[in-house]
Amino acid sequence: MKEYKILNTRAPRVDANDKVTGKAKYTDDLAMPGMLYGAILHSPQAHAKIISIDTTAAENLTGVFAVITHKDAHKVSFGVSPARYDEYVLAREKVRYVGDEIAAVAAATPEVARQALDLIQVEFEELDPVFDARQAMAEGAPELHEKYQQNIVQQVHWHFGDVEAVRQKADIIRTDSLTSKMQDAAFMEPQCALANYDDRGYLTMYSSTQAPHYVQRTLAMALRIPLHKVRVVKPAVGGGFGPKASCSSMELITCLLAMKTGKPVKTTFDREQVFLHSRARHQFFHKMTTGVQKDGTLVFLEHECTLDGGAYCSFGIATVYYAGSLLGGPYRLENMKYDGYRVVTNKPACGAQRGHGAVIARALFEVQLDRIAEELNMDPIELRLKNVREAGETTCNELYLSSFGMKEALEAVRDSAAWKQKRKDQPRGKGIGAACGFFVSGAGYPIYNSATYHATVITKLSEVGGGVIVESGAADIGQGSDTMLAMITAEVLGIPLDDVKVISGDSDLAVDLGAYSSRTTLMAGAAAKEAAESVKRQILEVVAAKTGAACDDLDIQDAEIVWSKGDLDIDQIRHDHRLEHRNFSGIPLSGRLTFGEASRMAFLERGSIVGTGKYKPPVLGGSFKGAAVGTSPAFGCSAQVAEVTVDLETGEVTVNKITGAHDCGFAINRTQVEGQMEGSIMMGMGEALMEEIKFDDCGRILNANLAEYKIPTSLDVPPLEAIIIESNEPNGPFGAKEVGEGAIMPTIPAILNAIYDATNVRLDELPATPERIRAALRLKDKGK
Amino acid sequence: MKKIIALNVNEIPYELAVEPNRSLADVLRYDLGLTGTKKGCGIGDCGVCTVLMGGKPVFSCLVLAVEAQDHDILTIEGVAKGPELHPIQKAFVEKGAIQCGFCTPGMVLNALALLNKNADPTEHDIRLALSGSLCRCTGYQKIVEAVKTAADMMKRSGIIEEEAE
Amino acid sequence: MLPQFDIIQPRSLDEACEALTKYQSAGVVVLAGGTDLLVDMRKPLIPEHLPRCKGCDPRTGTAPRKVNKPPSYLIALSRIPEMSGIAVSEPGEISIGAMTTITDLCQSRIIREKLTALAQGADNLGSPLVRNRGTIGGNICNARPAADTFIPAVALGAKLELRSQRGLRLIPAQDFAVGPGKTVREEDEILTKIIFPVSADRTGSSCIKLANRKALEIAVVSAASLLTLDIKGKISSARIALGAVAPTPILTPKAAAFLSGKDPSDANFLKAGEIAVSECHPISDHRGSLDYRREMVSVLVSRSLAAAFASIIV
Repeated sequence: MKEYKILNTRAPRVDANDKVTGKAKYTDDLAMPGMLYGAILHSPQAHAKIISIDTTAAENLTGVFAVITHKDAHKVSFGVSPARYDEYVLAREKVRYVGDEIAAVAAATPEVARQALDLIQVEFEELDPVFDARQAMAEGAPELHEKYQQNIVQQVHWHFGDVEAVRQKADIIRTDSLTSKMQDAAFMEPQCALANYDDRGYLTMYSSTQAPHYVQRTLAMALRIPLHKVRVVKPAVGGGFGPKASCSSMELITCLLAMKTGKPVKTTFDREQVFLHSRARHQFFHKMTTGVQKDGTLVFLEHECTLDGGAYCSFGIATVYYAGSLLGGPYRLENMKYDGYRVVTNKPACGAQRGHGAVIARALFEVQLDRIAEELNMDPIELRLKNVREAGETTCNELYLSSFGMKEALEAVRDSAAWKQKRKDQPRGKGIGAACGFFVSGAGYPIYNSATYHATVITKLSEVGGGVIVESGAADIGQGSDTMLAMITAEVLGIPLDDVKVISGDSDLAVDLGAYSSRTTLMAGAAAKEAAESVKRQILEVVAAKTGAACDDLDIQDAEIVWSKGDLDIDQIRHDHRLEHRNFSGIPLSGRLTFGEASRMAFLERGSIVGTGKYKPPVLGGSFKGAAVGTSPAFGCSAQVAEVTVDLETGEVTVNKITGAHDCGFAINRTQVEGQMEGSIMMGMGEALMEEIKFDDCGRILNANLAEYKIPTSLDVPPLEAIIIESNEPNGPFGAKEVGEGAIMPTIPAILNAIYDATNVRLDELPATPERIRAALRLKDKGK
Repeated sequence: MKKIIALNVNEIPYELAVEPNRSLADVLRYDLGLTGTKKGCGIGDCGVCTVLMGGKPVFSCLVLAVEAQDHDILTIEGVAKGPELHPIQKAFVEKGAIQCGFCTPGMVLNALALLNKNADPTEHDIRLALSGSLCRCTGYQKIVEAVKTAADMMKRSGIIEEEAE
Repeated sequence: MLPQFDIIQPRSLDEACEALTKYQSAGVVVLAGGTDLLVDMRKPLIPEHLPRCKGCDPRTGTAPRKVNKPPSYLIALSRIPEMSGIAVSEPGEISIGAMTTITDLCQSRIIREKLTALAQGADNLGSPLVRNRGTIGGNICNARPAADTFIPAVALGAKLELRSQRGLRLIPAQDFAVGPGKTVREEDEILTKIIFPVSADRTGSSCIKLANRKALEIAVVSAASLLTLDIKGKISSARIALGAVAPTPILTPKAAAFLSGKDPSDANFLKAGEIAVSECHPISDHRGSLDYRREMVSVLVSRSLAAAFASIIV
């Protein structure tokens, strides 16, 4: 592998010092003179017609500047997929879940805003609600939206290869099912937006978002403002994991309040509102029938899935496609049938969450592989190794695996976790399990139909010389994309990381589709590389012209201009530079021409030196309906081994260790790659063992807080070992591809498989709480 | 009705008029501009609002500002004395214990309270001390490593002994 | 967001009792550590005046909280020095001030030695951040069926000292709660002390909590046991308290009576666990089903008895 100065190191994040001292500004940390506070009135009912809304008393309250309802908004629907726009800024005619937004207030203080909500009267006519996805699809079920017949938002019917033709070739055919529960992303920073609408008709919104670009488009569309007059800025963001990847009603409401009052307005979600707004993981009902030959060769997969997506479509179309398409790998499987249904119910809307659509499907398939291995009396890792795909292969649903270190990852965790020995020797109550998974490294297409570039980067030499400013639309939500952009730029330009400044997450600066589908390193990284290379060429052209050296013989190393033919004559340049900087410190007196001198000279010769970079994936995917979802210029893959102890009397699970190996192509920053793996594992662990949104009979969340929606604490998470596999992805910058989502894929099944190894009981329902495990154990004891 | 209170925050005395129902977190953030103290739940479930009160970590969202009188309050802004980062902060930076950063101030303060009373914590001591602060990004792995590293750094530099006196 | 109120911060217990009586008609609540009270007092996110659906109880579901009228006054007990601290008050008695924090209980050597179950209950409560603010008095007065220090207090035979301008009274811990969040404490009374008998030699105790994660949890079931052996090594007395299996913490007298005079054997502990199941009345809720809770009572009781026995230093 090529030697790098900056890349592949453990350089600290560029924002680390600000974050560790409390200086980093998140949206709620911002304030503007004269700023008002927004508050939202949410529906107490799950399904009802709105008969009337009376805001008079609220409007008359001292300190209230505006009260808005749907009457104050354009009748323009919005959402995520343009073909399924089904939301309005504020509920029109009816509410569809407990939490639907009915009205909003802007007031001088948060207290007055909340008080005003108490004065708004709403009259409802109750409608029958439906809370179960399968009931919602049944004949005569209450209808949520006129346009969704039987409450089905999207159905998928895929058939690759020919399942019927090969069915008799299978020696073992197994059918298994798995049901999960709605989840919450539980990022630490609740959503917040601060909007300002100026006298020239420009709208600026600061927001805790993953996707300034999509938010900008939605604001312009729904609020009827020219696109170029809408600016969305992302300050520091306290995690997203999916739900912040689309424009929310709260963002639109905040802008509407700012437009109505002519004052800046800030709205900050309570934690409870984070749960109500949700847009996190769907509830999945999976059923899979898999056929294999005696030697372990996979023959076919028949897969049915129903997704409960709550009241609106949100990302639902992509979710239902992902749930099917991402079983095309990582194994050789030529015959695959998929029937998927994405359904609406009177619950908070679900959307995208880390491992979008594919996590529970992956969990069931990997659990099923273990059951098959047991029937075949084969080691589960051996079964997997027999079937894994390698680089250069194409899946049955036409996903091309340009690099694919699946085998290497699986072998790495097997060896590091001492799999063979532990699999044999452990007593009942202790277990070890393995699983694999893979994920896209950036969606192949934007959410709306467009030939847009997915990422552009503008890199500018600082005119005074010495520094570089990188402007990008990419959204650093904690995953570290600013650091990635800085490292790539510094490496290309041969300068220290400290001399690169990244300004990002601002729709005025450049285009970037956002932090979702694990796309940023590959796409924004490629654009940053191109922009930096352009800048480098421009400097070296100037140096060449000034010194008479050939441009191709020049390079920048350690912030100095290096000429492969010897020492450049730089006396005049240095003399001029010193004259210009009398009394300045750090002005070179001897040695080679510095990057600072060269970049200043480039400005003096040519004016501002700006390089641009852009990225757009090539045309990807097959010609079948829905072929676009699941396509990607590259795929990351992951294997994990989980070790658990199960208390057989209480059902409590202690995870003792998880070893993970992920193929990220090439680690731009080794620490951050490990961090993504460790974070993914922890989220998967929570989903496997404890995370579950619970509802009462009226559709109200029973645990809309972080005490009773349980995510793992530092005491729950065991030591995690992260092994980096580098397969040198040809389509990624410097060989890099994703790590942020592929690494969650194996976690749930690895834990479930370990629980089985410890207890001999299988669970068909997630999460695997002590009570569910104990119930399964009790059932097994009775069977004896 | 507002009450006049004296607050001692990061060794700076403040006199403030606050409503009795205002939390210490709100007063720190919105009255004093110390926005390094975060708000993630408002009900003591997540720990991002942790401050040290008389040296002990507490949820500032569940402490009424009027109840914080007579106690020394330390927020994240007061951890580094001067331009140098505190060893705990340095360790968080170097070990990659920071991702989104929203839990970081609380984590640092919980770690500081731990290391001030236990110079040589075991991994379990560290995980226990951090167990009221949720992090959704890191899996805690690098945070725990950073606290261990910080303990070593502090022992070497003698900081722990000084502060313990 | 908290509703408006005024706060009184008395410097002595007398002042506190006086204020409590004085403001009673206006609506007054005692503030201890605040880790439960300030959570319960918040304004609901969805205003209560909006019509709910048919059969919908506004006190449960999204934003489950008490719908009591918000108090006009809070009386904060934090500035009354006499209310915190752990003391050996009389021979054979440990007295704990109601404002003693949970962390103080965890860190007290005498409590860990003499009242092990209480120390373990304190260890199990919330997280270090909650324990630094939360108080034993607050935890007991809040009277949650799963309250982590209340269960061991019942097992250990604690008495609660209630004080008002009308005088003092002592209530056995097991008689204090009358329902979830409800106690026999009168509105003008303050819980001042929790008084634990320190048992004779050959005594041990233990408290076990079952939950779904390892911190920040509400018990699905908890069990605390107190065990005393006679000079021959047989069980001379036992007390077993359970949490989260009835509207209040409960004792299981039949299981305790069964053990009396028996050997402290695993078989007898298992049997006691089975008997205890017949003495509890759990419900199914989103934290656990009735069946699971009953099954776990048996497991936790026998385990806590075994642990109590193991802690006896002969």
